[in-house]
Amino acid sequence: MDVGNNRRMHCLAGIACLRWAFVSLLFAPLLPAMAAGVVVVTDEGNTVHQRFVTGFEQQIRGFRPALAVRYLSSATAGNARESLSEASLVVTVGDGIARQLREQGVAAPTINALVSKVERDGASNHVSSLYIDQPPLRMVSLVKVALPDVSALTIGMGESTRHMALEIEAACKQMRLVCETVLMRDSTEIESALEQAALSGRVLMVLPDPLVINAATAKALILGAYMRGIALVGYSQALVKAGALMAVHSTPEQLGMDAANVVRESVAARQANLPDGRYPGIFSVSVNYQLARALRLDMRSEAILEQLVRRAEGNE
Amino acid sequence: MFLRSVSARVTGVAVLLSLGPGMAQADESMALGEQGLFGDLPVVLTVTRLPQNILEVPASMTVIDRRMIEASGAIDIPDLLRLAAGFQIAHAGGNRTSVTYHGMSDEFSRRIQVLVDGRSIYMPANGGVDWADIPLAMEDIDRIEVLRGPNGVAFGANSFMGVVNIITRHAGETRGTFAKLVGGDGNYRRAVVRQGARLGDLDFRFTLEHQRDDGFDDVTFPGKPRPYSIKDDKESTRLSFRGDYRAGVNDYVNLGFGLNQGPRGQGYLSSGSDGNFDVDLEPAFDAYNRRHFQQVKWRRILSSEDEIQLNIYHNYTDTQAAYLTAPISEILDLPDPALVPLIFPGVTDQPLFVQQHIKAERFDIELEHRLRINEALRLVWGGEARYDEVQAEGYLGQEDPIINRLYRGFAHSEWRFAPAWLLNAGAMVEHNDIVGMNFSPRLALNRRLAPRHAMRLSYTRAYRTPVILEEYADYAQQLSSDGSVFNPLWKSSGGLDPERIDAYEFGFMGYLGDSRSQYDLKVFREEIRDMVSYPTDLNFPKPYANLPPEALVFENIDQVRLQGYELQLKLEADRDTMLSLGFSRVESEGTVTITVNPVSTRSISQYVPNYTASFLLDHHFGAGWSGSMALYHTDHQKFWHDTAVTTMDLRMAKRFAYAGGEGTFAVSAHNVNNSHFDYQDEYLIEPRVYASLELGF
Repeated sequence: MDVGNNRRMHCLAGIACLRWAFVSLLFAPLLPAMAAGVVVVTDEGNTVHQRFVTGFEQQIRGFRPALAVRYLSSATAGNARESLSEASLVVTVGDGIARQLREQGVAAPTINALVSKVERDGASNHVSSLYIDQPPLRMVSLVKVALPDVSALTIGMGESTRHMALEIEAACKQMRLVCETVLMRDSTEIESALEQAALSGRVLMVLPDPLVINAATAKALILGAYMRGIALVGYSQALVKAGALMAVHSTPEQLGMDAANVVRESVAARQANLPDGRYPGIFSVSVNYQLARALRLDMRSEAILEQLVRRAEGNE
Repeated sequence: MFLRSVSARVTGVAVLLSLGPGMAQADESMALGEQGLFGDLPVVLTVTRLPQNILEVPASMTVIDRRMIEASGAIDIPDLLRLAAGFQIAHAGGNRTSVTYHGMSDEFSRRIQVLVDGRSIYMPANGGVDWADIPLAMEDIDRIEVLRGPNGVAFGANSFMGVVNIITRHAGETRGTFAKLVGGDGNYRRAVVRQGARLGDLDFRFTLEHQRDDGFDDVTFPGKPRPYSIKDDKESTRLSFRGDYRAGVNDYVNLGFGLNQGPRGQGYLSSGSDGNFDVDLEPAFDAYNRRHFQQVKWRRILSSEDEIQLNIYHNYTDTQAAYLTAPISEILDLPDPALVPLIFPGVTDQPLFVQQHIKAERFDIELEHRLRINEALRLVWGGEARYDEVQAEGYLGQEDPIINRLYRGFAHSEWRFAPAWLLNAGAMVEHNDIVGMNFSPRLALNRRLAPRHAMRLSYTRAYRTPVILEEYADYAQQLSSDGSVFNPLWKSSGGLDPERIDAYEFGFMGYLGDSRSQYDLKVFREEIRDMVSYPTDLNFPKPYANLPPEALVFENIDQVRLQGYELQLKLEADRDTMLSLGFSRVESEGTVTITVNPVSTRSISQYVPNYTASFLLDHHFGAGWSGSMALYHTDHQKFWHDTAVTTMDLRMAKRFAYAGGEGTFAVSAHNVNNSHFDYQDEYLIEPRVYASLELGF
């Protein structure tokens, strides 16, 4: 690689070796920067993006050799097309910025973080995606490990998550659960999902669709589930806090850490073609124990459930 | 254990928090997908509103929900409390009802804490609850949580024998227009009008109610020339308001105010019994009651298990009651009024003046924080400051108000130290101006025996501070000519100690069938010390030698031990049929001092019924028809008579829909099986029929 490393290879002992090793370490942070040039493009006014960056920075801080990263605001990215195309790796955060850079024709290898799986479709080989959604198998696994007596599951999905239907079915088959999907085109159809769940299994898993489930409609969903004694499986920590029974989710910080790991892998592998899109690798399980007690469900600890989900996914 | 959140049913317990329109308020810069996953959502199912798993509560509880309230056909709130195992009610007139647990109280229900939406409503003057004067329509009640046993740690002062926690419906649940008319025997008339609406993030309702009735019928006893005609009619106008405002994503403000006023009949129109209650001494008159309250409650929900609440309220009571007796010569049946000065030197023949005016105010502020410390440990802690002021010159012998300040700190933890074990430990420290400092601990151990069954072992200590009347009583008949004391009737020497109860319980509880049914069985022992009784001092010094030397005095004089077992069962095989059963068996030891100077006592067992039972069966037949039957039994309980009583109530209702709304027509019959006296010989409870029509728009 470079003079410093060659010297280290040939100098196994002695003060000169130590001195050279020390000098190499001093210059070490500069070495990847010369080679990589990672640029992260975010919306500075977006708190989710800020949290993502916090997790990203926290993770790369521990990398050796260190990664040098430049942060660019999406507001100025429009004027930086050329410098972006020269970066060795660009990381975009969010669907909007991913779309923006795609339209600008930025040619650098790009990792689109915090994108939905639908957005990924049509992207080129030099673009990789880190999805904002959890993999269906992981979500269904949570139901299986947390509620082992359950054999049937109703899944409520909106138009924006309709594409997950096939994956959901496959996951249910793998977990040996009978699944019934209900399409909720808008909030008025939440009731039909609840009715379906009430008829079979009394477990309703909802997928994120902000046009269907939001601050205004969550009450109807949560109360409706509760009044019918239905275990509501959500998709976010906020929904569990609001009154869903449990969820598997990744925080923006965790997604940032995940993105940092993917960046390191990509830089180390020096791949021309980036790996296909992937779901978050770092996730947590949240349980509303107060609700679990009210529904007379004995729930294991969140840490154990997370472990069991990983095992069920085959990731342990 | 967080008993403020108790309810045993899945349905009908969750609060409805109105949400503002539109998307999450947290971050408008988020993309749609990000908002769905990371946007803030208001907490809907909070720790205070979720039902407590009965396998984990450290005390026995009964929840009287809306279905039970309607099925019972009750026309007032005390009637509902018969559904809780171990509770009895008795009537001291048509407008005063006594509620007791294990028989341990009197017409003022001194030993039970009663709350409405967290606001303590027992009267600072006599410690009792004037049930007829609560500014609350039964139609606005969501549920009543009855905690059977002392609960000082969670509910503070006066939570001695039990706690009745009345929770009203969220304003968001009562939107629209509602009207109800009720009429029945005893010239009972009640009209309720309610309007609920939403304005932005505020749900609110106004309820206006007017009620009147003639009280009990006259009773003619064999051999007596005149019937007992008690003036116990009443008329009330009630106005109440509840507002539920969502101030932020997880900030909620509850507003409440209420007003209740109207005349209450008192005294006798004619007396036809043995002269114990004499129309000359207590002629008929109207007391005028006026009551109002204001309340603000703020809640910040930090998570589903972390919540802070600040509760501030003010209660005001003004009872205008005063009367003149017949002239002394008529009271004593003297042939000549000129004899009066001979019997009572310096006193001319004149009526006596009895002053029963009470004005009382309470200001209270309470802070409570519920949180989860870690996976195994939850905690509730908080503090309260209260200011009670009572002005009752006739009862207290002084013009100036008497003030009692109370400060309370409490903490309670729930520690799951092993998967099947739960330890509840808590304590309350209280200081008040009357007795100083009290310390009330509680310890309960719950053990899960099976997924739906558990056992509980608990110990609780609670104190009851003597109320202002007990500590400062100085009540007398006065000469109407100059207001000087003529005949002292009640006198307290002051310096009373608090009553103390130590309660031990061993119980089994669990769910049956598909878990909609549940049971709670307990064996208990309650030891009460320093009980404040009011015996008659047979040698009480009087200002005039020819007056009977008797007056009630207040002393910590009695000890009582109660033990027995109790069962509360609720069965719901399906959504159409509901059965509620409450049963209590109590053995009592101890005495109640009836007189002092010299001392005479009566066994407490004469006042504590051995058995109390309630049975309520409700069935929905379909097509909007429903019917219910209730049976109530109270074993021998001697006040002025000794009788065991079983009564039966029936109700039939038809729900119907019409353009723009739905309504219900119902007919209920109370005491269909017999007439009986309860509590006192003058009050004959006869069969009565009521009909009601309610419409909602």
